[in-house]
Amino acid sequence: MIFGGLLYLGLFALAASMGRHAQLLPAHWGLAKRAARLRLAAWLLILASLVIALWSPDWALRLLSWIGLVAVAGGIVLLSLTYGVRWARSAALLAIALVVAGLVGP
Amino acid sequence: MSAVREGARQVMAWLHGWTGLLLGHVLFLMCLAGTLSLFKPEIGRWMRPEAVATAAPVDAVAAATGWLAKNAKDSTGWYLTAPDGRANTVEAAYDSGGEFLYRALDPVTGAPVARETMGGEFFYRLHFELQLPFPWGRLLASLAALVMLVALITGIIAHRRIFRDFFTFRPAKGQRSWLDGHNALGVLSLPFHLMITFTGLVTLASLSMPWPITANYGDELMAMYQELTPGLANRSPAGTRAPLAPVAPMLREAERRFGGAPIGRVYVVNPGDAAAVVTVFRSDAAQIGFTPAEISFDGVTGKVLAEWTENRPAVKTYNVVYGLHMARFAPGVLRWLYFLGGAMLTLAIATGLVLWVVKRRERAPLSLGNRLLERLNAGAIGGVLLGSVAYLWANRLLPLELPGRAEVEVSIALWSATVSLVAGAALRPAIAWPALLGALALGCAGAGLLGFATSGVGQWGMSLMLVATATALSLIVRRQIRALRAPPAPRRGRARAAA
Repeated sequence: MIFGGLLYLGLFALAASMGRHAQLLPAHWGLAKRAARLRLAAWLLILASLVIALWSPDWALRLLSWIGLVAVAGGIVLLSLTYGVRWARSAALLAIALVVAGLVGP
Repeated sequence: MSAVREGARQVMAWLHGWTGLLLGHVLFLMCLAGTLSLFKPEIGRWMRPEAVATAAPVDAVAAATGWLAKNAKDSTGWYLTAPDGRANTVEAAYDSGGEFLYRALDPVTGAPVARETMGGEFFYRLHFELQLPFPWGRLLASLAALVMLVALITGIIAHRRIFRDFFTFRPAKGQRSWLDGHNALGVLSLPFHLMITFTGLVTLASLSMPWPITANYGDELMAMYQELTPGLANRSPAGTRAPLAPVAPMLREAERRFGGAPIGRVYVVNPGDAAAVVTVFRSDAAQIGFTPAEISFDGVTGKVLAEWTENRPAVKTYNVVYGLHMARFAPGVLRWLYFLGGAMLTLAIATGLVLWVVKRRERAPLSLGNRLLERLNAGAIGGVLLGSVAYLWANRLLPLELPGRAEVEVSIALWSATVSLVAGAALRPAIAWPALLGALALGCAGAGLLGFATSGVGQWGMSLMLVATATALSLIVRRQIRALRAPPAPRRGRARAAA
């Protein structure tokens, strides 16, 4: 749950850091100046999701799941960018909720 | 330096295109069949709606051996797969009267289930045997896997902006859209594509690269298999008849020695002979590695002949690579992620084949070869899909008592694919695509409705998937028909000249 959420947030941030997909985040956030930092944060989130996925006795199954989830999360960002940015933003909120639920849950 | 790099990239792009093109249609068939094979037990259950009984693996295999002892006495071996949470029948492969048969046996009575069908086994075998005689199908599949690996690696090198294009898809822009789609499908699931291609190549390595085996074992292939699975006792028939001891106690003993893990495959070699051997393999479902342990019993006395738990690092590594490809270990969500990865690879191949033609058409009028390829694309891609759906229709509509029913189902699938291929080649591509995809949408909807009508609620999952696929396809076909009715757009060159 946590690694899936972090992975989505990482891919969302990676897309938002690209000039072509800057519409993912509101314009008044001044993304243009922070693109490099956003990109770094994106890669750190992706790396963190991978580390968390591997930090388990089931690491082999979770690594395979992580690989599969890259396609799912990336696919959601791609389709949202093409057909409606609000879906990607809603999914980002859901991903945050997933991470929080994973952290506070049993 | 950059000129050299650019030149290398162009060479890689050229190689990517040609390797993908030469065996693209075979790869499409392999990937589609492999992706469907992930749900082999579920497809089998859908195709045998009458087989609703369930039993514990030990009881089911014991019932199966009981039926085979009466009805396949002269067989040289029975190769059984025990049911698990996904499949409820015993999958049996055995020879009888000079013929090699695959049958699903009822877990309670042990007799073949009423609806004789290959079920999901058809897609599984099609994936690496391509309905060709041994060894040609496997050799072609192995070559195609090698070509796929080359296409993947050259594709990565040729792709200049792999991360920048990661999230880019620009619809309704002709060649640009096909390229974006092909890139997105390929890149989003790239680690999976590399893994599944490499592991697939390894599963057939003994056939495509036999030289290390020949160097070490010469013609003694049995010696190699014996060393690979030391728990599989190998005995020649004694020539004197002797009844098979009850199998259930052997299976229970095997389960006990496997530490309580369920049984998977069960081989009974030389049944009814004094040298009968019963070999029990631990189920592959609980770990990635294939064939984790096996134990052989004397078929007449029930005494243990050989026992082995795999701990050799090299063999374990091979088994993990093999198991990664088979995905028998994959629990529900992971299996769907495998399915998604396989579907994306299948679509990446299809879009690559279409892109080859679209790219050339936008530059100049198509050559004869490319015009043929354009028609072959429609026929082959549509044909493979329509053949698969025709197989499901045949399963529901053929009479149960038809002799050789399973083979007739397969013939109908192959003939449907052939007819679609011919139709695709004969029709204009602009007509062939909506016609074939429309037929496919109707076929999926019909198969789904037949499924609802003839099976219990427990098997409606696949019928729902078929109806959902039909809905998605009908949206694509509607769009294609609209494009067909719209006035033709001016050629880019002409439009530019007019401007």
